Amino acid sequence: MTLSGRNLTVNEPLLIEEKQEFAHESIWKVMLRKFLKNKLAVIGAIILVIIIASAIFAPWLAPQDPSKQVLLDKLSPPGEKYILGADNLGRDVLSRLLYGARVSLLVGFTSVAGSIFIGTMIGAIAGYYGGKLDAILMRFVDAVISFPSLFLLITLVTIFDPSLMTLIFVFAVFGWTGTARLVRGEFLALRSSEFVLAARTLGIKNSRIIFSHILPNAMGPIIVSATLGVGGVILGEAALSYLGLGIQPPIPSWGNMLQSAQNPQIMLGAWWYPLLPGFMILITVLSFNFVGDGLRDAFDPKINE
Amino acid sequence: MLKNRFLLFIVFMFVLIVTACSDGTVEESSNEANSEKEDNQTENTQTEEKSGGSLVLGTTAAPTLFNPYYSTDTSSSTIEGFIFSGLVTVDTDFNPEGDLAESWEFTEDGLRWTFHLRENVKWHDGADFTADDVVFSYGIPLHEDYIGPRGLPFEIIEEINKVDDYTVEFVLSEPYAPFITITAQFEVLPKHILGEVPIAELGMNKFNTKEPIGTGPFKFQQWKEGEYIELIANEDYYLGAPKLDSIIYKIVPDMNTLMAQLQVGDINLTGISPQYIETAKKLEEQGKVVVTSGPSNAFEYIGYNLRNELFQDKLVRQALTHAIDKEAIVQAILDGSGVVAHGPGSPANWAFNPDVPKFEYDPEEAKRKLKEAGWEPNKDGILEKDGNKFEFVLKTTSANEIRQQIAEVAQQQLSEIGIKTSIELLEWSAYVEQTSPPLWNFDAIVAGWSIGSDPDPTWFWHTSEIENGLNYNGFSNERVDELLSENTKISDIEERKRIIAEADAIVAEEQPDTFLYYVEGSLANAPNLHGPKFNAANTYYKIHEWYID
Amino acid sequence: MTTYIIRRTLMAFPLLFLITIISFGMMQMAPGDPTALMMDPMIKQENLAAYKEAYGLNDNVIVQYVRWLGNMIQGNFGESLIRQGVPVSELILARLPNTLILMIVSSVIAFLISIPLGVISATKRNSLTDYSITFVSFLGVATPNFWIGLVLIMFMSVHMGWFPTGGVATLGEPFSIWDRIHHLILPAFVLATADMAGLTRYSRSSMLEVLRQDYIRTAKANGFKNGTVIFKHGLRNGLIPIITIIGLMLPSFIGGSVIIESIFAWPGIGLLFVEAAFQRDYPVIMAVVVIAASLVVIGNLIADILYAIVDPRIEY
Repeated sequence: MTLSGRNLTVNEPLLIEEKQEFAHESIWKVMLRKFLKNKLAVIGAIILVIIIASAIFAPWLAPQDPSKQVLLDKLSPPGEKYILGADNLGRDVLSRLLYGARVSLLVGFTSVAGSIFIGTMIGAIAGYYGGKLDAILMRFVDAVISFPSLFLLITLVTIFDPSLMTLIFVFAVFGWTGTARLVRGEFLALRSSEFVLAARTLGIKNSRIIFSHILPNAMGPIIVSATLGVGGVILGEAALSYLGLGIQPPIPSWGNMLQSAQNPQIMLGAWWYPLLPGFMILITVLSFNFVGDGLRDAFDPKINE
Repeated sequence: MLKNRFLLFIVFMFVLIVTACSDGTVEESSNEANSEKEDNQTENTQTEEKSGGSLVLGTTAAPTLFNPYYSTDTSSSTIEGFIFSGLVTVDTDFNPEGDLAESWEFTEDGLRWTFHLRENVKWHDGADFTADDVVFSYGIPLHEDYIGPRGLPFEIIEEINKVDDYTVEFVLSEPYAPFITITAQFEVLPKHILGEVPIAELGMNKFNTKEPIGTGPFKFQQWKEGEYIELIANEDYYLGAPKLDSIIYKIVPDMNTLMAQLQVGDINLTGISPQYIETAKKLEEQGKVVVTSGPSNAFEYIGYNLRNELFQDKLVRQALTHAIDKEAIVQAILDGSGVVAHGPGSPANWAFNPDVPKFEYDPEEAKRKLKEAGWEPNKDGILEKDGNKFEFVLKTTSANEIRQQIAEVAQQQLSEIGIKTSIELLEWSAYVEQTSPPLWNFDAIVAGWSIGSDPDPTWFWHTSEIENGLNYNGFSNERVDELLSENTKISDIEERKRIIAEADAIVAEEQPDTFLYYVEGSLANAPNLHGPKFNAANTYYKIHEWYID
Repeated sequence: MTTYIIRRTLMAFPLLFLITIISFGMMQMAPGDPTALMMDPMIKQENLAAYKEAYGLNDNVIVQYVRWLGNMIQGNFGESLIRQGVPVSELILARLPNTLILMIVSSVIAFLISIPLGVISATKRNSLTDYSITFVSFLGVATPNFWIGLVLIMFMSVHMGWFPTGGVATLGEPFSIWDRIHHLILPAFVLATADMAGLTRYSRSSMLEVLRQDYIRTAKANGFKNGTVIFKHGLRNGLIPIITIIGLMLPSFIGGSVIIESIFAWPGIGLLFVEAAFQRDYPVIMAVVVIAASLVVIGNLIADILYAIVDPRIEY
C-alpha cells in the first residue's frame, strides 16, 4: 500500500522553514503562472477535470446499467456490444468504470475533506495555543502516525462492516495526522508574525485570528496535502480490496474491479479487464500527484520562476 | 488474492474428520531421489517401482496445531492424517476400513463395539502401540477438564474398556450409526508421552506443535514458521514404508502465486477451487499438470431465516427457488465445476437422494406462486402484500468470492420478479457471529455445508439443533425430526439410506434453503507424481504407496 | 544535545503506552472472537464456554488489558489463541527478521534508484529528462502494489523464469546467499516502488536547495566543473537530510509489507498480522501492532536525533 503521498506532505515542513508575506492579489497570479509552467501538472489537471466530469455524468455517459448481468457474455472482449468488454459476470466494463469512478472519487474526496477538517482543527489549535495543549495533541498525533497505516485500516474495517460509510470514516479518521502536523507548523511560524501580534493587541478574538487571519495564509500547504491525499485514498481502497476489505460488491469501485480480475485465467485470457481499472487508478493517482506537485512548487515562494 | 486463503475455512465449514478435503496439494521440491531405502515392505506386493522424492503440497492456509482433539481447520487435519492413525479410516467411497484396528464387531443392539488392534505397531519414537493408547485417546474428549471442539461425537460413549493389550471395547449409551466412520476415525495419541499431562492443558502442550509423535506413514520433522511443514517417511510404517521420502506442506497465501508455483513446478500437488479450474485445465493441456475432479461432499445454498415472516410460507420459498437460474450460476461463476442441486446432501456419498421435488428455473412460475401467496407487484414493479414490500438483506462473507458473486447474481435475478434485495458482505468472524446462535441476525445468507464422512443430516434439519446447533434456518418439521432421530440408530445401510432419502425429500419440498449446487472438487498434480486422484472421501488414501518417477 | 536525546527517548514510552490502549480498545470492539474458526458441528456448547473462560475472553476489557499490559512489560506477549500453546514471541521472532530484511533491502533499492534520479532531475530542472524522471518515479507510487506484484510474478517468474515465484529460499537447497538475494529482488523492488516517487521528489528539492546555496555558486564561479561541484559539495550536503527521512518511510514500508508478503509468500510479520486479524488472535495482533509501532517510533527517534546532529541550525 502506498500512502507516500501523505509522507511527502509530512516531510514538507522540514523544507519550508520560513514563510514570507505577500500581498494576496499578486501571489495568486504568480502561483498560477508558476503552476502553468509545470507541464505535467497542467496535463494532470486536465485529466482530472475529464475524469471528474465523467464521474459526475456517469448516468448519461454509461451505455448500460452497470449492474446488469448477462452471464453468457462473461469476459466478452471489447467490441460492438461492449465497448470495453464485459466483466466476469457479464457486466459492461465501461459502465462499471464510469460508476466506479464515482465511488472511488467519492471515497477519495469525502474522506480527504474529513481528514483535512480534523487535521486543520487539531493542527491549528496546537500551533496557535502552543504549550501543554500543543504537547498533548502532538503526542496523540505521534501515536496515530506511528501505527502502520494499513494495520490500522484493517483493524478498523474489521470492527465495522466494510461499507462505503465505514471506509470514508476510516480513511478520514486515520488520514488527518499529516495535515495536523503541517498546519501546526504553519501556525507556529505565523503566530508570532507581526500581523497576528497586531491583531492580538487590537483585542480580536482568538477564533477570529485563527480562521480569518492565519488560516488563509496556511491554505497553500493544506491544498497540496489534500490533493495528494485523494490519490492516497484511492490507492488505499485498492489495497484494502485485495484483502477483501475495500468497497464491497455489488458497488463497483476501481479497487474491487481490479481485485476481481486478479486471476491467471483473466489476466492472460481477458487482459483488458484487469488493465482498465488498473489504468484508471494509475492515471488518476498520477494526475493527483502531478497536480499536487505543481501546486506545491507554485505555493513555495523559494522556488522562483 | 489473499481472500482465497480464508476460503478453506468457509467452504469447509463442516470440517471433515477424515483428511479428505480437496485443498491438499503435493509438490516435489528436489529431485534428489535417494532411493537408498530398499523395499523392505513385507505385506505389500508392489513390484520394483521407483521410490523417493518429496511431495510438495501447496496450500493457502497455514495449519494451527497437530492434535485431532483440538484442531478444526483443514490444513491441520490433513497433516494429522499423515502423522497419526485412527482405529479405522475410510476408503475412497466412505466405506470404513481397518487402520490401527484390524477388525471389529458389534453386538446386535449396536451398543457394544469391540476392536481388535494390529500388533507390532510402533510409535515414531519406537514405543509399542497398545490398547492403553486407545483408551487414553478416546477418553480425552470425555474428560471433565476437556476444553476442545470435538466433544459431540464422543458423547454417546459410556465406557471404554481395555480387554487385553490388543483389544478394546466401547459401550455406547444408544445405538449410533456414525460411530464407526466418525468417532472411530479419530486418530490415536501416544499415552506414554501424554498420559501425565493434565487434560485441561493438553491443548497447549508443545507436543501439538513441536514434537507430535504418531503411528502414521510420515514423521514430523520440522515446522518452518510461515513457510512449510516437513514430514519424513516412517520406515517402520505398519502398512509398509512410504515410497516418498518426505512431504512438504507448503504455505502460499495468495492463490495466484500458488498457481504460478504449480506451473513452474515449485509445488507438485494442490487443490483447485472453481475460479482456478480453467487455469488448471490450460496447464493440463500444456502437459504441466494432471487434473482430477469429482463431486466433493458439499452443497451450496441460499438459506432463509424462517424466523422472518417473509419466508414462513413454503410457496414463497419455492417461488424464490424458481427465480434463481442455478445452471447459469454453475456455468458462469464456477466454469461448470458443479452440479445443479435441488435438495440437500451430496452425490459424493451413499445417502444421496436424486429424486427430490424439483423447482426448476421458471420466473413466471415464481411470480404465479408469489401471487398465490398474496404478493402482487405495485406500481414500481416491487412485490407488495398488505402494504409491505418484499425486500430483504442477503448476507454472505467477503472471504468467499464465489458466494459474493452468487449474491450479486441472485440479487439481479430476484429483482426480475420484483423482489428487492440488498447485499451485505461481512468479514468472516463477524459473519459467523451474526448468523449463528444466539443472534441469527440475517434474512437470507449465501452459504454452504460440507458433509462429514457419515452423511447424517441431523445437524442441519433437526429441531433440537436450532437452539445451539447448525440449524440456523430454524427449520422444524415433525416428520423430519422423527426420521432423523431414527436414522442414527440404524446400522443397516439400505434402511438408513431410505430414511435419509425420505427426510431429504421433505426438506427439498419445504425449501428452507434454495439449494444451489453440489460442489465439485479438483486436484492438480505434477505428471510425474503417481497416486493422487480426487475423491471426496479420502484424498490421501494410501499415501504411502504414492511415488514420483 | 544529550538532554534532547534523552528527553526524546523518554517521550517514546508514553507514546507506546497510548498506542497499546488505542489498539487494544479497537480490537475489543471488533465483532466475533477466535471461536468463529471453530464453527463445527462436533463442538459441545459447554466446551466452547469453557474455552472462552479458560482464555479469559469473557473477562472485562479493562481486566484483559491490564493483564496483557502486565505481561508485556515483563517481555511476555502471551500465547496465541489459535496456535494454542505457542508463545507469541516465538512467532514474532521467527518472522520479524524476514520483514526487516525485506524492508532494509527495499529501502536500499529505493535509495539507490531515487537519489541519482532526484539529483539528475534537479540539475536538469524543467527539462524533458526532469519530466521523464518525475513521470516514471510516480508510476510506481500510483499503481496498486498487489497488481505490480502479480504481474511481475506472472511475467518475470513464470513466463521468463528469471526469478523464483515466492518464498525466502529454495526448498531443500542448502543455505546460500545468492539464493536468498534471488528471492529478495522482486518483493523488495515492488515494496520500494511505493516510496521511490517520494524519495526522488525529496532528493530533487533538497538538491535544488543546495544548488542555490552561496558556496556552490562560488565554486561554480571559481571555475569548478559542474559535475565535480555537484557531487563533491552539493550531494553530500543535500543527502544528509534525505537520510533522516527513512524514519518517515517506515510506516508505509510496514503497511506495504502486508500485501507484498502475502503475494510473495514471504513469511513476515505483515502476513502474520493479517492472519491474526481475520482469526481474532488477539495476543498476536497486539504483539505485531506494538512491534510495528515501536519500529516506527524508534525510526522516527533516530531520524530526529540524526537530524539534530547534522543540522546545527535546529535548537532545543
